[in-house]
Parts: sequence; C-alpha cells; structure tokens
Amino acid sequence: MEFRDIQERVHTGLGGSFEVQDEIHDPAIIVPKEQLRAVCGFLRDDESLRMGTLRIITGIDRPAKKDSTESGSIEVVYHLCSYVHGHTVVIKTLLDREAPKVDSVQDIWPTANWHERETYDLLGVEFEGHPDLRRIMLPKDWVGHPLRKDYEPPKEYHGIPTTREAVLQAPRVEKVSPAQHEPKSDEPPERFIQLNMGPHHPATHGVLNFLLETDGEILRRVKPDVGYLHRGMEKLAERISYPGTMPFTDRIDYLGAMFTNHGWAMACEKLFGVEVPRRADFCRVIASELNRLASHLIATGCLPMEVGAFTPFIHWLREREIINDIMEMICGARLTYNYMRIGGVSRDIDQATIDKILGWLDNFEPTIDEFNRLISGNEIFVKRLANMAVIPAEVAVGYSLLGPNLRASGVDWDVRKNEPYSVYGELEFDVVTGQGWRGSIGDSYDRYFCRILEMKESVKIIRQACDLMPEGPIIAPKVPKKPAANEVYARTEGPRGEAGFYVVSDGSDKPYRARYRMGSFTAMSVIEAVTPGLMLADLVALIGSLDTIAPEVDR
Amino acid sequence: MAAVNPPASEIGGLQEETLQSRRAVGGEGSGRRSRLSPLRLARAVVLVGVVFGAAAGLILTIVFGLAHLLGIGGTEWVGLLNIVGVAFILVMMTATLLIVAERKWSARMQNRVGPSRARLFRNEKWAFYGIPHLAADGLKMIFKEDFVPPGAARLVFSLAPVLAFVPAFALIAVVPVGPDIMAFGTEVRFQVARIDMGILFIFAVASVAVFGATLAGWSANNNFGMLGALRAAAQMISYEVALALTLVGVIIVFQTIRLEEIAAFQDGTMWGGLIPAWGIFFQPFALILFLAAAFAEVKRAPFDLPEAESEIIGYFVEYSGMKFGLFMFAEFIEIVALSALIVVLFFGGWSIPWVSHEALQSWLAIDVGLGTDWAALAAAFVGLFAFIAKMMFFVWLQMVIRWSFPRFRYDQIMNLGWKALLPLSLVNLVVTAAAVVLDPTLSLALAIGLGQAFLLIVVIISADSPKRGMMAAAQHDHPQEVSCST
Repeated sequence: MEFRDIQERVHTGLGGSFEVQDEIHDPAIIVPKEQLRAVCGFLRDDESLRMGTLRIITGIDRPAKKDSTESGSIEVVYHLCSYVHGHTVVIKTLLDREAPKVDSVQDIWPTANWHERETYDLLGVEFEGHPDLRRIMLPKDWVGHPLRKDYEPPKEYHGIPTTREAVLQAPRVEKVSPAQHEPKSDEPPERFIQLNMGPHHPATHGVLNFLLETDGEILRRVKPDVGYLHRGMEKLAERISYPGTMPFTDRIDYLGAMFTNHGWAMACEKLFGVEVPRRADFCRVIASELNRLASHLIATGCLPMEVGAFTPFIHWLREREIINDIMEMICGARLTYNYMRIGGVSRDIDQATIDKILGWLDNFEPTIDEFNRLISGNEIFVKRLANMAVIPAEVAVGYSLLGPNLRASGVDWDVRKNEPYSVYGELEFDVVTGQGWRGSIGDSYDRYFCRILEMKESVKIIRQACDLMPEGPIIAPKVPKKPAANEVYARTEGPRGEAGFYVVSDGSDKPYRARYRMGSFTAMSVIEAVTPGLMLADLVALIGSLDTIAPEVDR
Repeated sequence: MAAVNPPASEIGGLQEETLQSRRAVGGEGSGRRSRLSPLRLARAVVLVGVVFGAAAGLILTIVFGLAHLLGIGGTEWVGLLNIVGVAFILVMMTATLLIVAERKWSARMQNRVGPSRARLFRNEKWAFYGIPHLAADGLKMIFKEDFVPPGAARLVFSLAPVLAFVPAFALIAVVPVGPDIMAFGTEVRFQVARIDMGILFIFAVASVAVFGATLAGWSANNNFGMLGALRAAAQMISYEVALALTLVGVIIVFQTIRLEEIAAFQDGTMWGGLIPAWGIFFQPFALILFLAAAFAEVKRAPFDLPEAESEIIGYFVEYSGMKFGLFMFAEFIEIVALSALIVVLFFGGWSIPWVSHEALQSWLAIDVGLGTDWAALAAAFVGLFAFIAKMMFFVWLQMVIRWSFPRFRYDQIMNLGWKALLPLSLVNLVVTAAAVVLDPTLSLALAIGLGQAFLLIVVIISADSPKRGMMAAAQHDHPQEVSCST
C-alpha cells in the first residue's frame, strides 16, 4: 500500500480526517494525542494495514522561535511497519512542550515499553499508562533531559566533573560515592537469591547488567539494566556536521561498523539528493558483507564459548583475522572502518584485494562445514540450545526483533530482499528463516544456525559482487554542504538486524535530530519477557544466541 | 588504492614475532593446516618415551635403591619411600607439568602457539615448550594479594583449599603403579599403602573432596560462589552413587577390593592366552559409565558446572593467589589420580598384554642373560613404564574431552546421573553378578563383555554423524525432522 491508500484507509476506518505532513521524504500522518491509541490500535488490527511492528519512537524537541509568542512543541514520531503487507507508515503527534504527556502504546506493541522509556529519559515526554516509566540510559537521579534543545548539562554529578573545562580544572578525585543506577527491587522473600550479573561478567558482551532473582538455578525475574555505555551518540550528531558524524557511527556497533556507516550515508544521500556511483555501491556491498561475515563469526563463535566449548571460538577468530587483514587493505582500519562517504566510499577496492578476498572465500566456505562438524552437531550443544527460550513469531514481531533473531522465528523479512537498497536487488541470495532444525521454530538453536547459514549467503553475495563490479568513479563528484529541510529514514540490514537512521534536517549543516535504531536494543528488551522459568545457564546462552552487544543497545 | 602493510622489520621486535607466529599458525587462514609427518610422529614418540622412561627410572631408583641401601625392604617403611617416589615424582610432577601441558595442548587444538614467552635467562632458545611458565605462574600466585572478602567465614575460607587438595592427593595412596619385585635380597612394592579396603578407601576419600568445593563457595559470602557450591555438592553426591555402583561390577569380576590383587589378576590371560584378562574386556560398559561418573566427580568438562566460568565464574570466585592455586592444582592432581585408577581397574595396571610379569622376568633373566636380580629390576621398569604410558593416555583423553565439548546444564546433569547412569550401572551389576554366579571361571562374563564392546562399537559407527545431519539441515527450504544421534 502506498501512503495515499493508507491515509485513505485510516480516514474511512476511523471516520475522521487527519492532517498530513507530506512535504517531507516519508510523509507522516499527524494524529491528535487524544486519538493516538485509537489510531495505533486500528493500524495494528485492520486487516488491510496490519502494522504489526513498531520500528522506533522518536522524540523531536521544537522550542518556540525567539520572536514567536506561541510555546514550542515536542513531536513524538512513530515509525510503523507491516511484515504481512510490506508497507510502512509514519505517524506523528504534537505535544505541548511545557508538559508533554501522551498515552502509552506499550500494550499495543510491547517493544514500545523500552522506546518510551528512552524518550522519557532523553526528552522528558511522559507516557501515561506506562507500567514502568523510569530512566533507562541515564542514572535515576540525573537532572534534565539531554535531547532538549535548551539542555544545560550539570557541572558535576556526585562529585564527578562533567564538562571538559571542569575536568581540566578539577583536582584529582580520590573517592567517588557510588551512584545509584537502578533501584533495588522490593524486599524479596528470603528463599530467592538476588544476583547482580554484571556490569562486569564474562557472559555479558560489553558492560551490561542483569538483575536476577533466582529460585536456586531457576530464574524468576530478569531485568536488563542498560546504559553503562551510553555515549549520547544522538546528541553528538546534533553538534557535528553530516560528514563528521560518519566516524561516530562506527562506534555504535563496533562489530558491524560498515552497516552503520552505510545507513548514515544512505540517510544523508537521501537528504542531499546525491546519486551514488555504481562502483561505489559494489564496494559498499562487498565491504558490508565481509563485515557481516566478521560479525557472524563472533556471534557463532561466542555462543559455543558461552555454553562451555572454547575451541570453536578460536577457530573462528583465525578466520576473522583474515577478514581484518582484508578490511585493512580496503579501508586502512581493522575495526572502526569509517569507509563510506556521503555519495560514495573513501577508497577503491583494487584487483589485488579482490583476488585476496576470492582466495580466502575458497578456503573459508569448506570451513563452515568443518565448523558444523566441530560444534553445530554436537549432542550436548544441541541439547543446550534446542527448544530453549523459544520466541514465537508474534512475540518477535511485537517486540520488534530484527535480523537473524526475527528470521529465526520464521518471519521471512530481510531488508536486502524486501526493500532492496544499494545493488542488493541485482544479486541472488536466499533469505534464511528458522525451520526448527533441532527443536522448534524460534529456539536458540535456530537463531544460532540461521547465522551459520547466512554466512553461506554472504559468501555468495560477495562472489557475485566481485564478479559484477563495473569500472568507474567511487564517489559522487559534488556533494552540497547544506541539505534542504526534510526528514528521512534509511535502513540497512546489519548483522544484528535493521540499522535504521532517522535524520531530521532544518536546512543547516548539522542534523537537527538524528535517531539510530539498532537491533540489539529490542533484542535486549525481549529478554525480560522470555526468561522466567529458564535456568541460569540458559540466560547466558540466550544472550549469546540473541547476539546483543552493549554499545549498540546504549548508543 | 589498498593500504600497504608496512614491512615487518619496521614494526619492531615483539610485533614482528607475533606476526610471524600468526603466519605460522593461521597464515593465510583456513587453507593451511599442519599435517602430521612420519618424521615428526617418530620424534614425538621417542621424546615421549624418553620422558616416561625417565620418570619410571626415577621412581625405580628412589624406591628400590633407597630401600635396598637402607635395608628396609619388605617392611611398611617402604611406604615412606613410595610417598616420595610415587606421590611426589609421579603425581606431583605430572600434575605440575599438566598445567603447562593443558595450555599447550589446547593451543594445539585451537591453532595457537600457547605459552611461549617465559624463557630461562631471557634466552630465545630456552623456551622449553613453555615449561618456564610454571615458575612464572607459581611466582605470580605466591605474590598476589591474599584477599579475604568482607563477611567471609575466615577459618572455613582458608581451610577449604586444603580440604580440596588433600583428598585428591590421598587417592593415589592405594594405587599400585608397578609390580612387586624381589631383587638383591630386597623385596619392594610400588604402592604407598597396602590396605584391605582398597576401592572402599577411594570411595571414602573421593567423597570428602566435596567439602572443599562446597565450603569454598559457601564461606566466601558471594552468591555466585554459593551457586557454585550448591552445584558442586549436588553433582558430586549424585555421581558418587553411580561411580560406586559401576565399580561393584568390577569387584564382582575380580572378586577382591584390593587394588594390587586386581592389577595382578589382570596380568594373566583368558581363554588360553587369547585375550588379556583386563577389566575392559569384562566390563566395557562399566568403563563408559565410570568415565562419565568420574569426570563429573572431578568436575571436568563437560561436567564443569561448579566452575562454569561463563555463567557463575565458579565456587572459587573470591579466591586469589595461592589459595586459588591449590584449587587449580587439586584439579590436575585429580586428573592424574583418576587416570591411574582407570588404568588399574580397566586397563591392567602395570601389565603388558599377553606378556605376564613372570614370563617377562624369566625371559630377561635367561634368554637375555641379565641374571635374576637385574631381570627383576628391568621387568619392574617395564611395568612402571607401561603404567605411566597408559596413565598419560587417559590424561590426554581427558584434556581432549575438556577442550572439545560444551557444558551440560544443571537439570541435564542431574537427569543423566539419576535417570541414565544409575539404572544402567544397576543393570550392569545384575548382569555381571548373574554371569559370575553361572560361570565362576569368568568365561561367560568375558563373552558378555566382548558382546557389549561389539555393541558399543556398532552403535558408535551407526550413529547419525554430525556431518550428515548438518548437511541435511543446511537445505533449509524444507523443515527437518529432529534427528538425534545416540
């Protein structure tokens, strides 16, 4: 369905007429906040719409102009998507800036829970009816909402200086009083063990905390406590120019930096209206798929390590080392690539590199089968993962899981196939969905094995791309400095799912608001829902099978 | 254009070395693997033989030589010499070297170099397969802060490593590592303590080991440690039952619980010299059960739940320095002791198949012409060598298993112990008892044992190999049946 049809359907279905903002790239329906829940419910349940998943909630602060008399507003933007019909829609609601309040939609889409908490934390929008509305990224006693345009950061926090000047001037802090990050849960009955798993724990990739309440080995409640790696990436983008944000996107997802690069580049290209040369697109695809291999190698290597088999991990690291060498040949960096530019890529991929890639792929492909013989078919490994933490398709869609996690639940959705970007439309590959290989569809083994099979697809894609790569320039000749005022949403299919970039421009050389939507954030939010009743060891395997990484959760 | 790697010479010493080792190990990646050449194999066999021979010779010299010199042959005082010879040389030295061996062997399995940085006198050539790392590790552990967490039960906290260490060490006391010999008028046996209760002593001591792990986890005032302690207690107590019941079958076959008599019995043959009278031929099934139960008992992978480092870090989470070292060391000693037990109970102890000790001795004395006394010493040396070689094989096997398999989950391990191992060992017990009652010459027991072995081999060969299973699953267009190999 096109936007016009969706708008028509909403109007006839609800019997009203909503304002439409259609001068922007992805037109939006503007819904009064009183009717938000009704519209959302209709969008989800209507047979011809079936907006089953909420991609992201964004808050945009729009303070009043200086010479204007009216007070400013806060826009809350909902990006919706239907896997059934394959269409998307954006709805917006405008709130009063002084007392921004809106109804919560977390019972319509469970994934809204964490998104609303984040919007509350960073913009101060209150979602009425939200069961657990507290800060998610910042400490609970933090003052202010950083993404407000008039935000002034406090000079110090519990004696820790926060500004650059204060850090330089402050005397050395000898002792820091510990900050209360997460409220302790209510006094529990004696027989349950309270465990703080993290922030430094071997199984949590990166700095991440889980508050567990266990009955011996059995988990009763698991609360992920994120925010330890919150670096304010979205705030940073508002202060740095469009091209200058590119290296920062590397740090959002350090295992899949190519995809965040690519997403940001695509968003900016939509804004600036720049055409990417064909050769640059092929360079992007080759580099991205190599990056996907590198990321899946870590994911499928770490999972056996977390269930106790260390050897497979090291064998995958050996392969990843070669990818890093190739990446060094391509862009000069091994982890944070900063390879893409708005309108192209920074360096060409020459013939020597392509020969090395193809030579390595010939060696690597049989290694996947070897790896399967080493661990994927291991009886203990299968028993640990099969039928464990099953996420059915409706839960996966409701919690807006993405990428291999979504596909393992049987939802056939891959941005590369369903909304082809770059040159993916010309390349042949299969979308791997979970089949319940050793248990039921959507269990941890499916999530693991989907990634194994996706590596084979990536190998196919790289081979084709190397074959088809045309000669030509690698970057667009002219990129304007300032875009027109507009709003765009660009997405790429990263190793942990869709890397979405929602960029709002006001016509200046800096983004007015940038919003990053990453796969790990929602994957982390589903943990609380699926863990009760599992065992402690299962939690570790579940985190591994979801392949979450902390910087991507926190940004 | 592509970025060019700077030449290795410009990067500097250590990095250059790292680059070289990377090339040597992974090199261009998956394509290059080290292959076993006959020359390397021969060299390895000779090296291993020299090491085992040296150990055997050392034990022989210390125990027999000192007993002969001091004139204490045939008395209980030989036990003291055995503590030095067997417990110190065999167990302590092996366990110490195992620390490096495990790191080196896992590195081999994982395409790495392993410990290679500690060298004697900073000499590049004196890396000695990483053995200097032992000294480095030891020094590190001794000089680390001896941390006791606040709220810990201090006495128990300090006592727990000792409680873990001592029983592991005491296990070796009743194991005969060599044949009894009589030479130059001195009678000597290679066993620390010759006591009537034999196997029962092993059960008793092994069950004490659970205190070390449990108290360590409990006393540290740490919930992760507590979980580890609970896991250790539940697992070790559960598997003791299966462990003991599997061995009852062995006791029935050999009709004794004295380990030296079991070893001596296995020196003979069955069916007119056709088959050595080893425990494995009578009780192959019990061997598998015993291996599983014993691995669980010593908390090695895939049964390493109490120290699952990726889940709960382990019952020794709060220990540092030498206290932690004792736990680690106890584990390696348990590996050695367990391997020695397997050898004595199932693989003929110090015996060589088809060659009895007496035959070997008389052949050496008469045909080779060594004379009675020297022949006895040589035969003892061969026996010790055979024992060490077999024991080392099982040490190696445990390492390979440790580095190949993932870990069980808590409920799976309990199910395996109570619902699989226990009933199966009971069945084994009944079958063995019936066979021995029906045919006291053990022929029937042997026939049943060989039948079991044949069955096991058939099952293993016909099992759904992971390769085939995965190849089928890779065709993801069609949902696959759940395929389970045995």
